[in-house]
Amino acid sequence: MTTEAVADPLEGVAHVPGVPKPDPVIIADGVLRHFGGLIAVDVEHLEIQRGVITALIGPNGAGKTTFFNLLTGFDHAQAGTRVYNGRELDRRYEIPQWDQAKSTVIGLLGSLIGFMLGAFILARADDQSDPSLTYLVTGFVVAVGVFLYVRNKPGGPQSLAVYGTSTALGTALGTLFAVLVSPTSNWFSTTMAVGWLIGGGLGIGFWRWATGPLPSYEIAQLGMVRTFQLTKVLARLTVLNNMRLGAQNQRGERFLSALFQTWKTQEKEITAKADVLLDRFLLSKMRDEFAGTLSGGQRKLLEMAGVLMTDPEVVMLDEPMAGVNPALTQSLLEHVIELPADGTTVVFVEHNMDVVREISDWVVMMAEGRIIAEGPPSVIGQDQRVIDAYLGAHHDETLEELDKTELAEEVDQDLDEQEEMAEEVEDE
Amino acid sequence: MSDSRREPAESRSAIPVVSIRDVVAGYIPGVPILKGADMDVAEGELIGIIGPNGAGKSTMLKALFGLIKVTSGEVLLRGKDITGKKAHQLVQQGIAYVPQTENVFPSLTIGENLEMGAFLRPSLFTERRDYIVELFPRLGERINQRAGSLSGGERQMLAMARALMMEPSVLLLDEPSAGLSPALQDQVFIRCREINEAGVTIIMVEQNAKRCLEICNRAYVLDQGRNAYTGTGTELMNDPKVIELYLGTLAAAD
Ligand SMILES: Nc1ncnc2c1ncn2[C@@H]1O[C@H](COP(=O)(O)OP(=O)(O)OP(=O)(O)O)[C@@H](O)[C@H]1O
Ligand SMILES: Nc1ncnc2c1ncn2[C@@H]1O[C@H](COP(=O)(O)OP(=O)(O)OP(=O)(O)O)[C@@H](O)[C@H]1O
Ligand SMILES: [Mg+2]
Ligand SMILES: [Mg+2]
Repeated sequence: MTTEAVADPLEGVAHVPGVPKPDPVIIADGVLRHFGGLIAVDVEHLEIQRGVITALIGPNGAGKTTFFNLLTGFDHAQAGTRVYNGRELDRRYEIPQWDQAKSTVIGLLGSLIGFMLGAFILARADDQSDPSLTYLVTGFVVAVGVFLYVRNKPGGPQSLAVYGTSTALGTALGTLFAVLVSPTSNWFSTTMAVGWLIGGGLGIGFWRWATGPLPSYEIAQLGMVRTFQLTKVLARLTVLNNMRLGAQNQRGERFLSALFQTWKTQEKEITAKADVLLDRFLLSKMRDEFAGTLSGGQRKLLEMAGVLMTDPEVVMLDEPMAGVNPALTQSLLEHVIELPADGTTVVFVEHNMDVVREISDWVVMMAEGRIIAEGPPSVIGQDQRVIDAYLGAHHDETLEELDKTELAEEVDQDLDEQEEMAEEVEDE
Repeated sequence: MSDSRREPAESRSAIPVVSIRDVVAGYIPGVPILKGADMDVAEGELIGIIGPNGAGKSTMLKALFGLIKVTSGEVLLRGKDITGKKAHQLVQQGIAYVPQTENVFPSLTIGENLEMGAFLRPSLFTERRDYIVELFPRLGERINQRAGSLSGGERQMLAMARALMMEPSVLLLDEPSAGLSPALQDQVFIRCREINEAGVTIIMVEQNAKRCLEICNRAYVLDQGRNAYTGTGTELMNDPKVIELYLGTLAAAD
């Protein structure tokens, strides 16, 4: 735990799962992710305090990595909302909330415009005048049917409105084009139809984009970056180039200042920064080697150094120290512990409790997808459920101190209990 | 702390099971990673290998298991020269190896991965599988899940389980505890010791140096492709130089 002179921002926060924090940078609410019948993440509510170090612990398969994936946009939840820095990540723009009457009128209108226009174009193309009524009736029925189907879905009527408007606009443009280019009657229907298709397609695309979740790279550009438990360094790039790639997330943000800088000086700055980090992570010697030739631990180090290239606002580290030599771990922790001083929020998953105790201000414990405990490390380390589900009864003892037969019995007992639990789950 | 570390199995023969003599090996011709490393492992010993990242620990196991070319020096198995032998030949001689990364078949299910592990002795399959499921109940519950969709720790369990499917006489483990929860890490170390007491020689590379040095008979500290220190676990754990350079003081603080 850090010992600063500044008052602990989390002082007085209750040690209960889902407790509100004074200044949350991340808020997850009702986030649910299941794979078939397996519930991987089921987080009722969690807030992460800005500018402190939060550890996320829990047994293997508790859902920690999946939760990281959901927060950073690498996976999508089946339900729930995620807010980062006051911005909702599940929707680029808020869907307007229309009342019942308004959404019925506008939604139905949109649907009718879109589908009846299509029917009209088809009828026109099929130039025997008889069947045109059939087309129009079919178009009407489809329009009403689709409207009834989406009426109660969130954003449903709005999306029909967007669809109707855009197909109408598309058709108008197509017709205009036909008038200008070749005013023969055969072409007319075709260009109208093409306009109708393109307009409708663009409308649907726009709507999905506007109301859909932010993709992972945009979340990274907003300042929330992460590392992967199973490293994702690019084997065919050199170590230095992997680092430079890390800096790219930031480019967008810096666009203006980049305009006034020559490309060369910016490149130089980035390289200088990479070198400082590589030095700290003991990777200088490997600077110009392909990342694919790094040892297991070195890949972990490169991955972590890479995210620090961007001066992120929130860093999420998935088992950063697994496989890193203990002496180096210790020196890197000195670096991590300083990050909050620059306002950086750190969230990390870690199974090494020495690390958790050393650097975290707050610990969140997950089990079977849920948050089951929250609090400062000293409190969480003593929590009986945390000990039972995660640490094991003998975590603080040496294995030698334990009577072997006694231990074997306990292990068997544990396994029996787990089996029973598994059976119970199956019975359900 | 008294030295309760037991001597390895009494029926210890004079010839080491595994010897590495002055081995030079690497990945690219002309760039040696191991620069004259030595190791002698007696029958029934549990040996730890620790050291900085990039020291050559994994490379040492790969050289031993015939996965990379040894340019000079020799590797002996029970006195017989096995330098240059290929991995599949060594598997038949009872050596099992759990790599550090990419250690499961991601597109196969857990069950199929275990079957792959038992391919040499299919008759043992059921009995071994029951043992594995007892050791890692999670694997039993998820027998039909694709290995590629497992969590990091579950993957690690499966990698270790696969090696145990074939009842090896020499077990090479590259960071078996990485990614496991603290309770499971302890269980893996305890089980390793049990397996070792049943007569299996184990060589394990570990970054959980605290636990590794607790359970091993002897350990080697590898640095820059060479042996830096060797001794019993207790000796190394208390050696100020080893603490400063490799262990750090974090783990010792509690
Ligand atoms: N694509 C998938 N299909 C099916 N199951 C999955 C998939 N991805 C994850 N799971 C399961 O969801 C659960 C949660 O996985 P997750 O990777 O989040 O665990 P974790 O808490 O990070 O564990 P560890 O500490 O071992 O890394 C696991 O039991 C895993 O097997
Ligand atoms: N496939 C490869 N091609 C070229 N060089 C490699 C390859 N694999 C490893 N190396 C190099 O060999 C050196 C030793 O790697 P090794 O994997 O043996 O380290 P290690 O001691 O196991 O480290 P760690 O604790 O990080 O796993 C490293 O400097 C690494 O860059
Ligand atoms: Mg994980
Ligand atoms: Mg290694």
